[in-house]
Amino acid sequence: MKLYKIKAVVWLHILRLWRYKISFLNMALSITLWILLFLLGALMFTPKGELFKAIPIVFWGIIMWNIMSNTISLISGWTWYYLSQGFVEEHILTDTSPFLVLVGRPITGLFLSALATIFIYITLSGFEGSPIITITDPFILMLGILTLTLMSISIGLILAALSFKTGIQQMFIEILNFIILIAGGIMAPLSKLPRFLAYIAILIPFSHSAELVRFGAAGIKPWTSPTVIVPLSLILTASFLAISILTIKRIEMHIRISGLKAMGRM
Amino acid sequence: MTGCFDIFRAYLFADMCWYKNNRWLLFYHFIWPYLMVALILGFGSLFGSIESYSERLGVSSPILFLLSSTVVAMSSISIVSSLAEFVIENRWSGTLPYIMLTPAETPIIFIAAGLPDAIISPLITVAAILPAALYLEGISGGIRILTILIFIFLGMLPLLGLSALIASLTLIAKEESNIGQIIIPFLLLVSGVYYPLEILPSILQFIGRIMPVAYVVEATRLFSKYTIPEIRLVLILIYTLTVMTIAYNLLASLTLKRADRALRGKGVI
Repeated sequence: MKLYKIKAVVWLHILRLWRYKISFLNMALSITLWILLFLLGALMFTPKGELFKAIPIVFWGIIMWNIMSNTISLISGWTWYYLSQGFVEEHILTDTSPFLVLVGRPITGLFLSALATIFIYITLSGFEGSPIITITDPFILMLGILTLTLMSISIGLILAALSFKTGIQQMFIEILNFIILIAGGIMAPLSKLPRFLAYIAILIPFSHSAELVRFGAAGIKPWTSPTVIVPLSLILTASFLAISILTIKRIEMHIRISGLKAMGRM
Repeated sequence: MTGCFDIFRAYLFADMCWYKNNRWLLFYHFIWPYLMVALILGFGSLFGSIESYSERLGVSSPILFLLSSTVVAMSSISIVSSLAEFVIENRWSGTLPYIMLTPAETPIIFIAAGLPDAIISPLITVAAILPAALYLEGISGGIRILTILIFIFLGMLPLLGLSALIASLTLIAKEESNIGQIIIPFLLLVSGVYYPLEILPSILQFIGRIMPVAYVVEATRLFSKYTIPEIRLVLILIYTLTVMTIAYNLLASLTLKRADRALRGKGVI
């Protein structure tokens, strides 16, 4: 792959980020408001006097969901726009993989997550309570965040590739994000989930990275030893990356032969 | 001449075909309220109990309240966003100029085109939660949910003008996505969809009090508290929403004409 193409893709996404800065800021603020809406609702479950003690527990959960949902939806959800504008055909005609452009989408997703995290931190700091950010093992914390991010990028790319042939809808991605949030062990440690949900969460790859993040941030013990979870997370991340590359290659071959399923508006 | 009703009828037909051909969309509308309630319940259970929630909100049936509030939230989302999405999608497709060439005025096109989805979406969402309401509260639960639907439609009327303004703003800003989407969570946040307004700072409480959604939520709370609420309280809510409908749409009709001129002046359409 020629280096100038990669530079062009990075430039494209940074330029788009700047060009659509109002949309970008609007999305970051919207995410913060949505999270605040659900958080305030959920805090009503707390007995009086203990209202804001629980906030530090959920901070890292919110951050993880933020990274995961933004990355997945901004890669796979963007194909709707990408396809409807006819950009896929244009890239193929200039001998550039249309997926190369999608690989650059995490730039937008991660910038958005970073800005939303800042807003969420500022918002939560306004509540009384103990410090929001705690770190007990920085290496494990970073490893957890890195594997979670790479897995999210891989799943985003797989869904984006599939949407070229199957017409995956934005709502499917939203439902997927919600299910992972509820049952995927993102918001709560697996040890706190009801037993049947904990079993489901173990099957969801994100839960292992989330357990690492909680262990690294707050010292909350994972469902099994970290010596098992660390290699397990790395193997899962590598597997997802491999699956995404294979899916992209296969779908790209298909669309070069038989064309896109979604021409224009999906 | 193309009138408001013709546009409404055309988009009603288009929306019905859209739902008919996108079964996923229907599935999404059915599953979404349950997912939102599951999220709040799951999230809330980490901090405390449903009993505390019931006590804090003063409702006898917290699950029914959560489900009804979610319907209010989803309906508000669909009302406010349907107009903005209509203009953005047509701009992407290059069909917006053709739509604007019809003799009807731009604000009328915006409102009449977005209205069918704003009606269909709450109907589907209510149909989705009706089985749960019947299961939880029996026939009375079903009747209460249908009454809340009437309040949703009453609350929708003042929101229409606001939605058309957001759609105009989206076109003027020339952004890729709907920049007015921030208004939706803000509207729900200040309306106290899942919590009492009193926990918000006083400035947000004030903004909430001038928003129609807050009164639809209030009706939801009233019907989740009593099987048959006091008629006086129900009438107060109906009067408030009626006054808001007149005030908001009067304000919108004055502002929309300027927005229309700005759109044409800037050559956006």
